[in-house]
Amino acid sequence: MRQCLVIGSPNVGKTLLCLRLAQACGLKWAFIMHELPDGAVQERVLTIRDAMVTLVSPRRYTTVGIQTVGVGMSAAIGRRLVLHDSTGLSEESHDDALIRRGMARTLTLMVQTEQIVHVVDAAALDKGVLSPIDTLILEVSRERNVPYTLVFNKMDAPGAARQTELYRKRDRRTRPLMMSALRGQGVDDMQRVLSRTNVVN
Amino acid sequence: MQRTDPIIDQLARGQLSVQSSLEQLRHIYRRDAPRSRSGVMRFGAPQQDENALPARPLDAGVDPVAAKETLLRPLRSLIGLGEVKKTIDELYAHLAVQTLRRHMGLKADGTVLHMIFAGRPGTGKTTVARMLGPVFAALGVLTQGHVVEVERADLVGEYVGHTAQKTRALLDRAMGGVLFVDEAYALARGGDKDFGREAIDTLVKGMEDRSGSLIVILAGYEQEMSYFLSVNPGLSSRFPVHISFPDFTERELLLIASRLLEERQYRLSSDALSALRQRLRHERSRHDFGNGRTVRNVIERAMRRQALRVIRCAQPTRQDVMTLFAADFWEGDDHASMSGDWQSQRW
Ligand SMILES: Nc1nc2c(ncn2[C@@H]2O[C@H](COP(=O)(O)OP(=O)(O)O)[C@@H](O)[C@H]2O)c(=O)[nH]1
Ligand SMILES: Nc1ncnc2c1ncn2[C@@H]1O[C@H](COP(=O)(O)OP(=O)(O)O)[C@@H](O)[C@H]1O
Ligand SMILES: [Mg+2]
Ligand SMILES: [Mg+2]
Repeated sequence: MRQCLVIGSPNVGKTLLCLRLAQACGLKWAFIMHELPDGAVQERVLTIRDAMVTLVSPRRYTTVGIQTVGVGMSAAIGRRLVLHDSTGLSEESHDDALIRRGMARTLTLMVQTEQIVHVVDAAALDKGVLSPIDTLILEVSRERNVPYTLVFNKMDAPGAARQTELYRKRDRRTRPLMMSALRGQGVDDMQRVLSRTNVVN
Repeated sequence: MQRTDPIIDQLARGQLSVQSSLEQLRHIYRRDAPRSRSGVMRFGAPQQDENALPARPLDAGVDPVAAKETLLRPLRSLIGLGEVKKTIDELYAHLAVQTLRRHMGLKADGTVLHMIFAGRPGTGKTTVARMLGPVFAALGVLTQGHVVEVERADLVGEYVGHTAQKTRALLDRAMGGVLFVDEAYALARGGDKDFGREAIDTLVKGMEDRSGSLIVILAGYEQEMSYFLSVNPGLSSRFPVHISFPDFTERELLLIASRLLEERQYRLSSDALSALRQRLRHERSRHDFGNGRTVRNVIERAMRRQALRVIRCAQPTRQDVMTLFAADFWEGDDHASMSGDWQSQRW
């Protein structure tokens, strides 16, 4: 079973993206494993729709601890795959021990998983430049040399297209995969990426 | 211990910012890069780097969550046994989560899975044990998942040393699978001088030496088993999973019977159902009642009776050879009570 980490800053749409993928793969139910701060693992089965309502939120840091979704999407994409949704990385709330634990788990997965999907809020870029943390996520993934995909999410939001254009002028090597998890656009591209083994963009 | 661990640890303790943790991780990978790239590295292939925790493939290549229903289907199809199924569901969830946890780099506890199956004969202990083997194998808990069924006579020998030898041989045969000891309490039957004692000791020692690579299930009557455990202190803790197999209800016995008939392509005439019910009710009250096994005996006896009846027909039809009549279920001993029940409309 292939382990894939979905990483990024808080609130960029990681959770929604995971659920959209599960949905696109024909799953009606998401198996959600939520690691609690004390290390215990809580297991829940939700319909994808309920999961979207419960787990996707405009508040930062609803994903404290790791949620694993979409176990079993293997059938649809021809490979066994576990998506690990993760606690968003940011310096903010660095003083919250709970969130720090969550972020540490994210890094643990980052050095373990066999594939990394890096989600960025395209509309939040400044002059087409990735934030320092996002730049580092990209670099560490590259250094690890595992399949890595940069995803520009929220392409529906104002300014996203413009920022993407600026980004692509600066970095011709990386071709971000564009999507709107909100509208469900670009999900099939994502599915294709996950069904191949050695995609690096 | 990974070299990345201290970095992540310091982030968790608030001693490193997110940015510097990432920078340090990058540093580690850069330092290692020339060495790892000198190998036969493929573009995008997972790196064989000691920093990257070995990404263990799922032990037996089965996705424990997706495969759950398939793996447990035979168990679910058993009649009754609600508590047994529930316990196994819990056990499954636990093992599946442990497997997932291992893959997420979380601590997974190596649960001890030796079990006690307590219940009267014919309540499905052997049947369930046979079904569990493959499930554990699929979850990667066992490598083979075969079930070796033994009883006292297989374990206990005739002279000093013989018992240990026999028992060890069977433990070896069960390696990677399940050793199912039927009527296990019989091992304690002969008291201290008996070789049964030696079998128990060898079993316990063997379980420890082969820890993690086989599961031992001790089966027997509820009361005998609890007595057996009470006179062998230390055994209880080594067999943490205790599953009770209750007697089947009348309804369940009937369901088992119809299942058996269906499998064998027989059917009941309209009055035979009541006769079968009556027969099972009668059997159920006997002290030597053998639950599922008795049901099978009852059915098979009726089949033989029917055969005698059919062979006397001039030209038996398809219907004749398929159908069991009420009379096929009657036994000499209960004619009286049956007709009594008939009159009192108890059935
Ligand atoms: N406009 C827009 N909003 C999105 C998109 N994807 C997610 N969101 C919103 O962004 C917020 C955070 O989403 P969530 O999945 O919880 O992000 P996470 O913190 O990275 O897991 C929610 O309010 C989502 O509705 C998108 O493609 N477009
Ligand atoms: N729950 C059940 N559903 C259907 N048949 C059963 C069930 N439990 C037992 N049987 C049948 O009853 C018989 C005896 O079962 P077995 O597993 O040997 O009992 P035990 O090992 O407890 O003595 C077998 O033929 C089995 O197929
Ligand atoms: Mg989230
Ligand atoms: Mg038996």
